[in-house]
Amino acid sequence: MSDMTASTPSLRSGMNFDRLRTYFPFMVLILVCIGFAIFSDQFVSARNLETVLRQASVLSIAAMARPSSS
Amino acid sequence: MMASIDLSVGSVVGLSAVIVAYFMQSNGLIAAPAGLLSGAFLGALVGVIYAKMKVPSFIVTLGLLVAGHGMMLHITEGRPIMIKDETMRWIGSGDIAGVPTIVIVALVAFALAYVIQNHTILGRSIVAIGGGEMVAQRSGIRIDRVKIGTFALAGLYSGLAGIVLASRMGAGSPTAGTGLELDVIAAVVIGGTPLTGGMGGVVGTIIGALIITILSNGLNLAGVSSYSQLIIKGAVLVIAVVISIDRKKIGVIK
Repeated sequence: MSDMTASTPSLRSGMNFDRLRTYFPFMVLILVCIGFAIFSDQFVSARNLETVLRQASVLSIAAMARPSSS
Repeated sequence: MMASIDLSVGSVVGLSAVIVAYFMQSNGLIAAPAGLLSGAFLGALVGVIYAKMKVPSFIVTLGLLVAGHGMMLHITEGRPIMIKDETMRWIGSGDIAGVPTIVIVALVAFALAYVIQNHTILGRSIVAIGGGEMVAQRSGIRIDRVKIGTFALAGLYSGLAGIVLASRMGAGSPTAGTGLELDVIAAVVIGGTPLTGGMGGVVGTIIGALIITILSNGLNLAGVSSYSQLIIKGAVLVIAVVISIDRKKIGVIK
């Protein structure tokens, strides 16, 4: 009984860490967007959004097949 | 996901851009597939050397990184080759119903990569090899064939990125794609694909690419110097690895 109660928190923390790992990229993306939106009015403009998407396109295409080989 | 490292991305992207611009001088838009073919060929070549001759992917792709830059300088003779074809330039700077054409190209490429990863034998074989090569081999997966196919596919995507880059710049520049490999590795790792393989995917990689791009864009808007930007990007990459690394899977770190 005492073994079970001792192992449960570590199992739970392991699961939490796995979940953190899964959602980490999304969290970083949201945090980065919020951070820059606070510091710069230009960041949230439609023109800048278009610029970001254009810039991200080349990198995205080049990186897309890399999860396979990285 | 296959636990290989590809350092040749920047060179293959740049070389494809230069090849497209070179052949477009005399053949127009019909020369665009030359970029795809050159990327796929170089990727397959890396795959053959890596899988059949058992040379570490890190070394093969490092060799191609250097050789590719040399080839770019040879073809361009050190000067940018201008692209005059209007359709090609439209891909880089035009739009369809308000959506930039280049973004539509990226979305189509994403959809294809997603289908390949999740709904094809190649995609599942890649995950299996990353999870454990010996087990994958014993379950009937043709390891060498999958590795070569994977690198050829990665090369094909680099070729497409080269065409898009050339259309955006309006030229095939001898310095095109320089340093792109580091951004690509950062995007892949930040997107949740550990270098130990067996996990990750294209959705995370897109998110990773967006993070890298937004970091650069936002830091530029905030007036942060390019030197400081490199430090911040490096720190973000290391933090991403610290969080995403699966320590249970790694025995000894060298």
